[in-house]
Amino acid sequence: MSQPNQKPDLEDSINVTEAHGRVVREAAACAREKRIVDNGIAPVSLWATVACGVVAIIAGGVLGTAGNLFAYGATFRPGYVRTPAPGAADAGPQPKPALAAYEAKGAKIFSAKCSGCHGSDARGNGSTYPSLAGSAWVNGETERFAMVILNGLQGPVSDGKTYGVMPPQGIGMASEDLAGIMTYMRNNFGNKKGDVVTAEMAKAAIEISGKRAKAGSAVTGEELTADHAKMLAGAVLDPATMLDPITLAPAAAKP
Amino acid sequence: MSLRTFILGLSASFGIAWLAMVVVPFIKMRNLAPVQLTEAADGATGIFFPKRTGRVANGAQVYAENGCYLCHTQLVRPTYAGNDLYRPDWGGLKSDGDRGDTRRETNAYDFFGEKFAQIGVVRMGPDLSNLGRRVESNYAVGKNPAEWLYAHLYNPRLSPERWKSTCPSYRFLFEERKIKGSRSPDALSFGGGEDTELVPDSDAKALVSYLLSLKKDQPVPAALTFSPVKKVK
Repeated sequence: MSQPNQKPDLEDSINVTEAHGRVVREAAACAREKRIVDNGIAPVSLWATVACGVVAIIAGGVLGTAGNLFAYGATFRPGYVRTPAPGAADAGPQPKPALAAYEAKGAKIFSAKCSGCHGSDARGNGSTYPSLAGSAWVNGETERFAMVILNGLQGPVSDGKTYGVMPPQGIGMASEDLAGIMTYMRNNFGNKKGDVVTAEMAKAAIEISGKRAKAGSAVTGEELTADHAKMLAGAVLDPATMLDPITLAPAAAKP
Repeated sequence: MSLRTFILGLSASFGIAWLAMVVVPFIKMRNLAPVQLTEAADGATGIFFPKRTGRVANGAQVYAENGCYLCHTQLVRPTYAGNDLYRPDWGGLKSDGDRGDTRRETNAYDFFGEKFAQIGVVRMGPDLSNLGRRVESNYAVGKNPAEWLYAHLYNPRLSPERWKSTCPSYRFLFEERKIKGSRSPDALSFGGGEDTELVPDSDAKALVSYLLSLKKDQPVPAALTFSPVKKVK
């Protein structure tokens, strides 16, 4: 009778409020099932929590084992000892025969201390500085030679002539240096003793020099002949023994 | 989230990181206690102060201005952090004529004289801690070490063994100018032509002087020596 129903879904029997309520409840259930809650704050899923936990534990372990958390004053890990070099055997200079090792030290001291007066060829100048080449005292007993170096010399030298006064060279001289210069002088500039004055012998010489009656003053020829005309005490070293050129300790030959 | 919360959170996250990584280390490292040398352990008294010769302050500034620290490091790391120490001539010389094995790690006192320690960011070029030693002993044996460095700055790819070098050319630190009268004593042997000469400017000279001063293989006091081998008596 009236015009056909223009809203076919909506029949008189449908209670709109009830229908809306039903829709909202279903949607809410759906939302709950999908774990979507009001305000957009979602709980973190379990796998994300576990993954972050693993990362945090690893990070904490790294920070903890580093040793110094914010202790910037300690710039090295406490208890650090260097791992030795790979192929450590060939680090450092090659070992040299004892003669060469001591001579190398002596050569430096000669050019620093001795050549200024005695000349770069150790021949002196004939009037104020005696020649050391072929000198009897240089080539003779080691103790006498050591006393001259350590304390200086006054008066006539081994060839009978009087030159100038030699100043003492022993102040601050280490035993290796003294041994080096003595070995160098006895084996160069025409001197060919072929033996090595070791650091041990030089140490004994320094002690003897300190115990002299007139310690600190220059020696004279008479004193040398009377008290010091002997070889220094110490084990004789074969000049061909291989030594570490820096420490002068015996070292095996490196390949 | 309100704007206030956001700003607070932003400041906190960057601020805490900045405090922990920049401010606290800076304050602690600028007042390092000097290392006392003891007679028994080191054979000397006083304070450990590694000396450097050259225009360290000026050169360090030029080094920073030209961004050298972006590709070059100046940090020889301890062995638990890498093999820097034993790379050829990085930590020192393997067999120096006088002192034997002089290789050692970098310590904080090596950077005295510079405003800050330019330890570097990334190692695209070799470590420079001992560059002065390397140039004098290896690269420029028998030649002028300063000139080797000038040549490298002018054109890093000049020498055949460095044809792959990614170092940028610092040509702008040099000047090619007409010879007035006689050649200038600073003029370099490469570069220049018939009547021109190639001359480094003051920045280049400061930088090369600084680079030649990079010799960080001096002996260190016992407190900073980590060598496992004790001196053989």
